[in-house]
Amino acid sequence: MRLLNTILVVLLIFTGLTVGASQIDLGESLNLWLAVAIATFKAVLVAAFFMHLLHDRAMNSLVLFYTALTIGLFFLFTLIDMDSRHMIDDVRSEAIKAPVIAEEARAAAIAAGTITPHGHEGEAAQGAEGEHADEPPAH
Amino acid sequence: MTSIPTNSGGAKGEYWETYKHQPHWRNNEDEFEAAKLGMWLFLATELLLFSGFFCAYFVLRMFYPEAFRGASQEYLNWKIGAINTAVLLISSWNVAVAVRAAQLGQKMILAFNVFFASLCGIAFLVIKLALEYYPKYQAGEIPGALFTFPGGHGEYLPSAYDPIFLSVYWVSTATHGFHVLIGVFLLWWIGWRALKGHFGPKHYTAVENVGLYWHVVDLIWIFLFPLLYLVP
Repeated sequence: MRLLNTILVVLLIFTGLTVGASQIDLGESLNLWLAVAIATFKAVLVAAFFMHLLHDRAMNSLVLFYTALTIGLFFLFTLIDMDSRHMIDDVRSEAIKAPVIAEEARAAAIAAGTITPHGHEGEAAQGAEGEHADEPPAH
Repeated sequence: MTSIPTNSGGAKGEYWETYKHQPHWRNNEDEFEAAKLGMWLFLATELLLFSGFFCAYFVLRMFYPEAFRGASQEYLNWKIGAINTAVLLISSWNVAVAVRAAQLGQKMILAFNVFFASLCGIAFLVIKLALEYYPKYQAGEIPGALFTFPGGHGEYLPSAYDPIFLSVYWVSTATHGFHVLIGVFLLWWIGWRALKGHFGPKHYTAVENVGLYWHVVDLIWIFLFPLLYLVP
């Protein structure tokens, strides 16, 4: 009982920690890794104590271990693949990335005046507007 | 150490006292362990299901880091996410206490904790629907082609990739919410059976397995919350 209470308190504290860590800008990837690390630590606590893997037959831990391993391999190879296509074929790697519908919808929204790129006019906004302005004469 | 109560009065035994394993098992313990292993295998498939969403998150984040950075801050309120995280963690604790109560034969503690955990699950869903999904739906912040670029977002300049972030958000949280809903019904079932005296030190397979399911639902949210709401 006491053990379960302690684990709950630790989990809540680490939830606070992960919120706190996100408020500090450590740079894109470090923030992400820190959040994943804290979440993994919390997950291990839940699995070990709440799901009592620690006091259970090893077989159940093995199932979880191989699941985690499988997910890790899945992520690893997918990310390696997606991040290295541009080394082979730039055109196709761009084709994967470009969400045409989204770009068109955004351009239409700017044209209709729904989005008002006031204040800081980003490059993307000007680009989209420029594209849209070019379109009508072509039709 | 709390002593395990035994029914020595000669009265008709409770369900858990007289429970006899199915004929193809050697004994109750084998049956229990096999059921638990089966549950773990099922939970492995659940984790693999959600790993697809996480993979999509990481790949899309790699492609559109700026959009994910901005959209997460603009569309999601981390306070709601944090409250929901706490609610789920507490309910997980309740379920862990409930399993312990079953092992010790404390019927009412078991039932109370199970019902309290289900209330937490309902609270989670209400917070999600009332404070997140409904306002988002009204504002047109819905995924894919249905997305309408919202006006009146102050200084925020929507990126063309915002709908992609919202797609990941909606698909992963809605699938998770559906699991919470199923979990709530399962907890009611367990609580009802607990009140009928089905579970005790010698037999609590269903409590254990539903508990494991609920913990996995919590575990998935532990990852979803920082990735969607927090990472700047």
